[in-house]
Amino acid sequence: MTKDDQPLSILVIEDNPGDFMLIDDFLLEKFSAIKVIHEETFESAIAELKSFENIDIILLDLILPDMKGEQLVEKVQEHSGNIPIIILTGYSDIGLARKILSKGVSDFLIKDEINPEIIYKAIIYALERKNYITKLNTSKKIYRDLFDFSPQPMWIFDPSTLHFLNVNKAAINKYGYTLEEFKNMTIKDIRPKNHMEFLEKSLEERKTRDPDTYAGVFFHALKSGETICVEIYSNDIEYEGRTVRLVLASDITEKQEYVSTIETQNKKLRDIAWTQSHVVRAPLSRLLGVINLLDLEPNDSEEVPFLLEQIKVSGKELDKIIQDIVAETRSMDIKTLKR
Amino acid sequence: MNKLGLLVDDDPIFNWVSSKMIEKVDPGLTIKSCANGKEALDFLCENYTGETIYQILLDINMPRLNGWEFIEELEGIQTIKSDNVFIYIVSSSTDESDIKKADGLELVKGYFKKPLSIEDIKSIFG
Repeated sequence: MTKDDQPLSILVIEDNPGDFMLIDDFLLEKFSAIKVIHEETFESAIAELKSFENIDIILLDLILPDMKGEQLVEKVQEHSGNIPIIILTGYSDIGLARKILSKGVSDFLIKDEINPEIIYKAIIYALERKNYITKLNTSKKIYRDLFDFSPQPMWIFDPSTLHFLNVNKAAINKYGYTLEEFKNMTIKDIRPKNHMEFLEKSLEERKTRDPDTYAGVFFHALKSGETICVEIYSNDIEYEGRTVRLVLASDITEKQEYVSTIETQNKKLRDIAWTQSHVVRAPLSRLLGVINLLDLEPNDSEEVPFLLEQIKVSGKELDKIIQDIVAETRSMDIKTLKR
Repeated sequence: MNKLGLLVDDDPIFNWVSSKMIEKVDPGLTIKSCANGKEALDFLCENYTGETIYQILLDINMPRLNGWEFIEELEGIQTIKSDNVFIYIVSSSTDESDIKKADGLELVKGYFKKPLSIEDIKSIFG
């Protein structure tokens, strides 16, 4: 029979020399490239865990001279990180071993039943499971990070109590509250005081509406007292076994200010256009009227000097109006128009 | 029937130019110039007779009583009949809304943009 040639380091914590010898034999029967490290007490095992970094799996006897049972498992786990632990136990301790399984150990083996096959299988399963869990945790972390480190403020709240359940770092930075403060707040606490009715109305509407993601533009109050204008996207998601609402808020205060600046500017331009059509046309039409009349007068008419004088007056008036328009347009510097 | 040209504009030069042009089209026509709607209304109240045809060149933007207000007041005066009063709006406004408004008024017979050409004057007084 061919042996498994994985290069594994196995820490066996077992105070009974007979039991250890048996386990050691079984291991060597199945693995060709393993390193077995033997410790007999809790203290020495911990020292080993601290010094030896590349342990792949721990076989732990549930009763050691200096510690035993649940406490032993917990203490070992404190130092073992994510190294899989397989418990070795006698018949009398089965109940305890089962209980300990829930604490995150990989498996338990009953000493009297151990044979090379059983121990081999337990080790391989434990290692595979560890790989799988590591992968799962990595992908969990990626999704958590997408929330936690999103550059846009995001939070999760309970739609029935309106309490914040979680908020990301961008939201903490933007709104100025700590995570703990947020968790003691409801979404009402980030609305300006006089917007409560509006908030309740929009939450009511949200119940009847198709849950499309765009919720609208709202005003939010920061801890500093400042009010910002935000565009809200929200979605219902499953979170820790219940339906909650995930919210993405982007601060569009500056964008809004910019739009309002442009609107102010547009109004000024419309005013200028109005002035252009009414005020400019008055002297211009008079000027053209006088010229029309001049056309009809004979060259030697006594009215000619008077008409020419009127052309001059109207021309000057027109010039003044145009200068005023130029001055007004020049004053339309976008920065000076900001609120 | 007598005819009277009533020029209502707050720009005296415009009234003067108009009167000069009317003189060329219809020499001898009696012409009265008013600086605003109020002055024109007062003049009509004092001098109106059913025996005279009134041809009124009316500006819109004027102080005291503007062109629209003048027409409104005029319509309210029972003694003044509409069949011998002809109003021609003459404005520097090129707003479509002004033109539409003028279209809806019975007394208004035409809408002219400033400046008036001799052809405009001919079409009114010729």
